[in-house]
Amino acid sequence: MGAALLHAPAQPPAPDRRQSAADRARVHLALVEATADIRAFIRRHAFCAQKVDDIYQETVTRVLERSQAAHLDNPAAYATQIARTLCRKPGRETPHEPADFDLIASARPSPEDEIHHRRRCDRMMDAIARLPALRRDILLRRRWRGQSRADIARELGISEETVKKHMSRALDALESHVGPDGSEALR
Amino acid sequence: MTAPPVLVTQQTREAATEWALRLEQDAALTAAEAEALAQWLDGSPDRHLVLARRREMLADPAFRRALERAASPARGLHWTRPAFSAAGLAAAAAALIAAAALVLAPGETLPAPEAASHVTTLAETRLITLEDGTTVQMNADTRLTVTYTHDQRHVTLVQGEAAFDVPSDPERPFLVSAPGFDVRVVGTRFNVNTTGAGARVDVHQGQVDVAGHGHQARLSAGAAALIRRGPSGWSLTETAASEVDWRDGWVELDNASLLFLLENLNRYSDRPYRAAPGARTLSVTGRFRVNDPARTLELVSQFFGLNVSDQGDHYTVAAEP
Repeated sequence: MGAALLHAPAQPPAPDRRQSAADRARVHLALVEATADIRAFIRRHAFCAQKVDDIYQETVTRVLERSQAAHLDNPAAYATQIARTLCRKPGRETPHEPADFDLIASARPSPEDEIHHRRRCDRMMDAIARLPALRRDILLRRRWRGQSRADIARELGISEETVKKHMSRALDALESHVGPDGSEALR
Repeated sequence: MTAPPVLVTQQTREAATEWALRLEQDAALTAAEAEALAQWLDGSPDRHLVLARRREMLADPAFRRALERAASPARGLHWTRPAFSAAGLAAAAAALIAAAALVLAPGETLPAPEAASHVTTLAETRLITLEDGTTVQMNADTRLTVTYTHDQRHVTLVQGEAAFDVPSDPERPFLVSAPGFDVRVVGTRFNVNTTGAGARVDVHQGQVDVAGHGHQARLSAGAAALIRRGPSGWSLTETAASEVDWRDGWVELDNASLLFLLENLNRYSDRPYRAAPGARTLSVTGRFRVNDPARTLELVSQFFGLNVSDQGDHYTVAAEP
């Protein structure tokens, strides 16, 4: 079983530590599992909202590099540690700490959040309306009706590969029309 | 600035899309899937980021809401608002609406599949240019769809207000359908403002025909039509075109209802202003700044003896006791 493979006890690290494929996979999957938390952490602490993606990318790269040199018991925790360092503005000693009232306020959506959400939603609708008809149809079937790729391909008489392309292009269009969630930019 | 997906190949984005869809399903990854995912991620350092962004898109509440609205064909592209809800209708008036709906039938055809829709949100204005060179300036909180065929240029103003500058083309008339009436032109500049409490068409250049609710009028440059619902039904009144409009930040009213003014202000207010029953029919005349609702209502309240009270999710405007 593959699961056994993934969770096999780590081999005693050789002196030069050659990372096993299984250990590498474990680190990747731990990062995938913790993605939302890591990115939320970066959003809260980054000195600049535009840098979130950069910092995330750099964090992942460094965690993977580090795991080649030493065994990481908890890759997600290590990622947060790296992210904290990267969130510091160059030349600044301490990371930007959000004020406490920010955290309290964010427990409930503020009117600004609601307007932001409404705008975002309207932009999304606009982007969805601009999609070519087939692409929009595929997006709605897959995301709204929850149809599988195979079912959509069969019903529309196209290949699964084409369904995959349309779905991805639809999300590309939405992402470029709406941009990444900029709610942090409002705060 | 970061724009990672620009540099990312289509295949990477497609794979990221599929993995993102898979990861949000309840069922845990099988061991084989987990291995395949790890292998894919290991292929290139940017894949974690592309995947993260895809997952964020799928989880975005605004995305879900937009899909929900796009998926229900009755919403979004057409009469999104119950046409006259703001007026607080009595049962008798409902019959009138039914009659009006019959009159509306010609303008009410669903947009053809190629219809493009344009939306502005609260306090957002936008200039769009259509394929024939027509420019449309959209006021805030406005929704319209554009359907061009070989013999007609058709814009449906689903809600809100827009100013049109239409190049002349006698072979291909330009038609604006709004809730309750149609505006037909050959080529001209004009503004259409539609609210639940009535509508107004101002013509700045050329000539337009306005028809709806059993009335019709031909307006020349400098003229305006007010379409209003009164106790005895709908009326269409001609008046002089306003010198100013929302593009200058103003609305000019001539005996308009308070409701009409409030709907204009609501396009710029995060929380709507609603008129208390006794204040709805109050008629207002003058120029009002539309893009600063709080300040405008302060002045209007002083002048008319009104009270504005904060109700949490909206404000109520009532006559002073």
